[in-house]
Amino acid sequence: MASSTHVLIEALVASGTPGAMEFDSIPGTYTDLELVFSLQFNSYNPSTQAGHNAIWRVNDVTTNTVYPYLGWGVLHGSSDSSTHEDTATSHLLKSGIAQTNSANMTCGRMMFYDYANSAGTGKSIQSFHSNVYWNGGTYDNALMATSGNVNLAAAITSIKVYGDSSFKNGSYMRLYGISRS
Amino acid sequence: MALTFIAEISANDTDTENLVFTGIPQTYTSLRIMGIGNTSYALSQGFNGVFALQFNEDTAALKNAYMRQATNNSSVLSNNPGTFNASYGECGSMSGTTPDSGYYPATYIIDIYNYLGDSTYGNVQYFSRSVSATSHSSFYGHTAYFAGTYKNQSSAPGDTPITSLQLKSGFGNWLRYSKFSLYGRD
Repeated sequence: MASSTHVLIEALVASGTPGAMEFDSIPGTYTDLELVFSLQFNSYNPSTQAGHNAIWRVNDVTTNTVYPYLGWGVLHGSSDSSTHEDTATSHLLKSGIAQTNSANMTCGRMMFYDYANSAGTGKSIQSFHSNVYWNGGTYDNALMATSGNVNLAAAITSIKVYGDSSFKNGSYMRLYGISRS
Repeated sequence: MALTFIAEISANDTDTENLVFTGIPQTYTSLRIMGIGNTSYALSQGFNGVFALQFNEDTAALKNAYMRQATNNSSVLSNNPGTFNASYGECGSMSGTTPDSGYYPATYIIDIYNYLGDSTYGNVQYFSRSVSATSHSSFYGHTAYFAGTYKNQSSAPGDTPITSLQLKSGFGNWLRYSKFSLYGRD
């Protein structure tokens, strides 16, 4: 009988309104990772789209050749949104963090493929996230799909997210390990 | 195990308008629905079909909202930047019976977040992927992402648990081969 192939590694819940949330000791024993998140600012209601950006980094790396990505979807006040960055210093999710006054959190999931590979190429990210307010009209409304590479010559051992302000208590991230063999 | 099977529902031997998961356990952090389906209705094009998700079988107006981005076999469609104050959450489409008597089912994956009725997390959210590909022309294939919410609120956002999920065929009935499974995540 096959062993479990999709396993909860760690769950983080924001407490004390942290400025960032991070998995900092990811085991290298799986093939891929899945990360489920639900995020909201503690006390911040940006009046611009950019104020809701979620910045995701691995191993605390900020090098601009590591995170080429592209994304597409729908954002508040815009019927069309697409973006790409060939020299990004992070994997960036637009409207990845809900504002304080929202009735809900931004929710989504990210896949990290071949994350334990230590070669400079071959690791990639797929992400789906959304935030829809039943009554509309908020800058954090979004439906986005984002894909990118992680061109880092090391295994991913940590994943961090942060934005322009601290997280509300109860914001969470859950990390799962997937084995393909 | 992080992803656990909860239940399966199907139209069995009768075409059915509503397929409902009831008694959903309150022991997970999020849910996933995976399934295939099509409607008994003769649509003029695939995106005229509607797969509507209704939480706790609540059909009241002013509680749902959804967004969509999509393409059919001809072109990328204009995105829907938000339908608000709706009576259901749209989460998919289908080809209908015009191409080959409903031979081509659509496939769906729907992730549902924060369904436990804990106001810490606010209203329930979902993200859905909907796909059908046919060998018939005239706009019957599609691929789409949907996202939406339901205002599960009594006195504070998100304070009402989601205990049932109704999968509604907006036009016609789910054809009898339609089948959906519900999973929970720890």
